[in-house]
Amino acid sequence: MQVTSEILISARGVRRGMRKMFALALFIVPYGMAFGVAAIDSGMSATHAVAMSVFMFSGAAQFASLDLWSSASVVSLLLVVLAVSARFILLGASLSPWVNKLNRPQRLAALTMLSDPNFADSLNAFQNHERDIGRLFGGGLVLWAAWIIGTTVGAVIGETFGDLERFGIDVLMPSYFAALLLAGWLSEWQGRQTWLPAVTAALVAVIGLHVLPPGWNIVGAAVAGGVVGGLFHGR
Amino acid sequence: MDASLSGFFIIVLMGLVVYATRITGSELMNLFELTPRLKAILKAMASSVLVAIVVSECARGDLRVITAVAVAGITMLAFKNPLIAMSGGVITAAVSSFIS
Repeated sequence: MQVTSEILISARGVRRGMRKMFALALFIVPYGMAFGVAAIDSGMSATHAVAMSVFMFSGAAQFASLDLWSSASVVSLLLVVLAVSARFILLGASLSPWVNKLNRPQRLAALTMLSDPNFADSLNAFQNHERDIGRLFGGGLVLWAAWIIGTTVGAVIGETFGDLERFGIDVLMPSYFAALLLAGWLSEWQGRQTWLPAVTAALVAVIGLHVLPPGWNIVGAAVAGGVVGGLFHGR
Repeated sequence: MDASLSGFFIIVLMGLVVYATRITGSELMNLFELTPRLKAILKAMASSVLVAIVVSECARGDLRVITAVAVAGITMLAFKNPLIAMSGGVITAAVSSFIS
């Protein structure tokens, strides 16, 4: 994508990002609570649970590491976190036409707040002439705050709160992603160039779920989908 | 990981790993020219990640999860709004938990 007009990062953009993500952030609070409850369940202290949300800010990576927290070695723990988070590399690369117009310190600061929902919002906005990277950073800030608040509440009342799954919170993430996918397909369906990578990714994800370590099926599906998308480009 | 301080240290390490993945994508792209094919690859990759997560959740989940995601999809087609679609999925899952 050729980005010609000026890219900047400003407080106004940050506020715009915060506004755009605010409603979704409200939904993130109970999700953070679910993590807090699960963390306490896994034998983690409330302080550690909140520290995880502050420093990692990644539901997938945090939930994945909970499984191994009390049993696995530090190295395997870090590798699982890397595997689950590898998709952030793809998200960052997708935003690079815009983000890389900033200088490195600004860029490294803005990307601290990169997560799935504000990635989706920002990518869509940048493709529609948004020029302020604050949109990404501000969106992330409000999601981060909601994630930390939710985790704190969940961790503190973890023992008595009960199971959030019965409130349907566990399907929040796949529901949102399914909606985002459909939104993208509705606005820009490119025939085989769209469905072939998607079908490939789905197959690799399901097969990988059974034969690969946790998280690697997502990485494998992304790589496979990308390769297929590249192979069939322009044909 | 009993000692509180070492636990905290490991959490910070995990945070650094996640942050490294957040910045690696954009840093890598500084080294390459963005060709149309590369853009096609990136685009396919970005949506493939979402496809993979949704499909994995459905494959790992039961009928309740699959139904909820399907309702979210249908709601999206009807209202063209991710927030409403998401709510549709969550409410469906909550209701099916409640009645089962």
